[in-house]
Amino acid sequence: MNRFRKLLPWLLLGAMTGCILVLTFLPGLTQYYTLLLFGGAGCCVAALLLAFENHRPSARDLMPVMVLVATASLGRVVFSFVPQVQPVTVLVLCAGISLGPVQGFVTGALSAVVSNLMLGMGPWTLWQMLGWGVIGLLGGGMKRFRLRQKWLVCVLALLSGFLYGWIVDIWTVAFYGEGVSLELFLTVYGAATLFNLIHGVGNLIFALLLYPTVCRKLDRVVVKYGLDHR
Amino acid sequence: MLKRCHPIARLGCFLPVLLLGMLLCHPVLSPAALGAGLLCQGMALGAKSCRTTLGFGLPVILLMGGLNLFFNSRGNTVFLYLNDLPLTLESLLYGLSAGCMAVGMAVWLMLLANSLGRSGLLDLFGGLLPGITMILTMLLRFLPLYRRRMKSRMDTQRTLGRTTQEGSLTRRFQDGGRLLSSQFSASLEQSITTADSMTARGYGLGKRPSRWPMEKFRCRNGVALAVTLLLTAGTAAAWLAGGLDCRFFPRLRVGSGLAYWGGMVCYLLLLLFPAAWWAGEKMGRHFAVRRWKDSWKEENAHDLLSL
Repeated sequence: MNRFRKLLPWLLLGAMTGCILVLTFLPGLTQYYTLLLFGGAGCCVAALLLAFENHRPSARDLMPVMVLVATASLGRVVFSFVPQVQPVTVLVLCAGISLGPVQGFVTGALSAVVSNLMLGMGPWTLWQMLGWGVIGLLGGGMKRFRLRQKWLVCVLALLSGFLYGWIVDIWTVAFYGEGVSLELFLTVYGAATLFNLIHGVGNLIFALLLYPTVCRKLDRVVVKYGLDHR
Repeated sequence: MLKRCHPIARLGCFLPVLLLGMLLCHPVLSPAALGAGLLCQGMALGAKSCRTTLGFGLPVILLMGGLNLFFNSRGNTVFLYLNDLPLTLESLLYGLSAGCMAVGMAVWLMLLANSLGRSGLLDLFGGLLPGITMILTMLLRFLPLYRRRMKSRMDTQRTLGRTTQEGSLTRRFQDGGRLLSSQFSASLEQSITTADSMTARGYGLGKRPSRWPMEKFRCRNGVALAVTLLLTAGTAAAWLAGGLDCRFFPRLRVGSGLAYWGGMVCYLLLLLFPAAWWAGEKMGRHFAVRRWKDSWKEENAHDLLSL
């Protein structure tokens, strides 16, 4: 059972790759694209959440994630009156940079779930989990490669507005019910450019304001309580 | 709806319909899914919530039908030419079916969310993802606490003359930032204290799960799960055999033969199962209460007579 649990994330990632390959190379099966898209996203989210569990996180590993999720989702609810502008993306990026890739993913995914408990659940929740989770993973990659310069984080925050939008818009494409094609994706992404740009600029402002403070506080906790001992 | 069953049985009731419903865009089955969903909603949540759903659902269905009618000229059965634009029956049917599918799935998703609720979700995932479930469980308590602490912090800062309610915009912004910053650091520190006290009480040492199951998996849950799985398997087999395929263009063609009728019956039974189960439980409880009342009357008959 234990070995199976260790293997399960890789199996799920394999299933996700299978879904993507089928969608790309087997046009005969694209009529089931809704199932394939949702299956692929679900597999990816489940794999990374299971990877977090397989670390066997202690209480000290869980609690900073919880505080970040609470801050991010309350921030999203507070800013919900401004379209696309919210501090979640930058906070998730900071979580990745300070705590690590998997923790960053979990922070992003749970922020989507918890804020949607207040703002409204739906099939889009899965895509938001994936979008913010991937941004957390990116932040974790920055930690891994020791790229923590402020300008770099600001650029990444600007770009992650677009990345998040592109991931979440896969749901828009699935909802249209017209199948998947490059043209449809380009149309949807083109129509969403302005919204993604607003999100990116909002992220840039939040990164300038929040990144130094939040990362300093998180790093302090990490160093003081030895959270990255492994 | 079905709050007293085990979460796995509740998931087994609603999830197959959601998955199959996303695959089947069918002129009969999609409206049937919507109708059964509305029936469940009416029984569990009342007619008012049904009316609200219809209030947003009907325009969506009509809009999708209309859009398809005017912008999709495929199909053979033309019933009207509008400035050389053929309006076909098939495109109208396709649009209406797709609309019913979308609204129906929204209704079933709402039913699933309503039936599982937070406790059901935590119960389901507690065994598989104990850490994530722990975070979610603690968050449900932590969010109100976070707000309360924020309030008291604001009050404290006001005594120092720092408030977000008055002063110039820069000043307000600075004070608000200071407030949020101190709140964030304090919460991080306090969370570590919480973590240590959890460890001191034994969290993460043994095999203690971070969940508290509200319902046991009883025999009837197993029966219900088996029935839904059987019906799902029947529908899926019919679908794989091509019985539930439906082609709208150029002319409406649905399947025929055993696979078609078997799949239809299985799917319709699957759709009606939650409502039937709910009604059965309700009736069982009603009769149990009546039996109990009758037996109480019999036992106390002579006491009642002597009164």
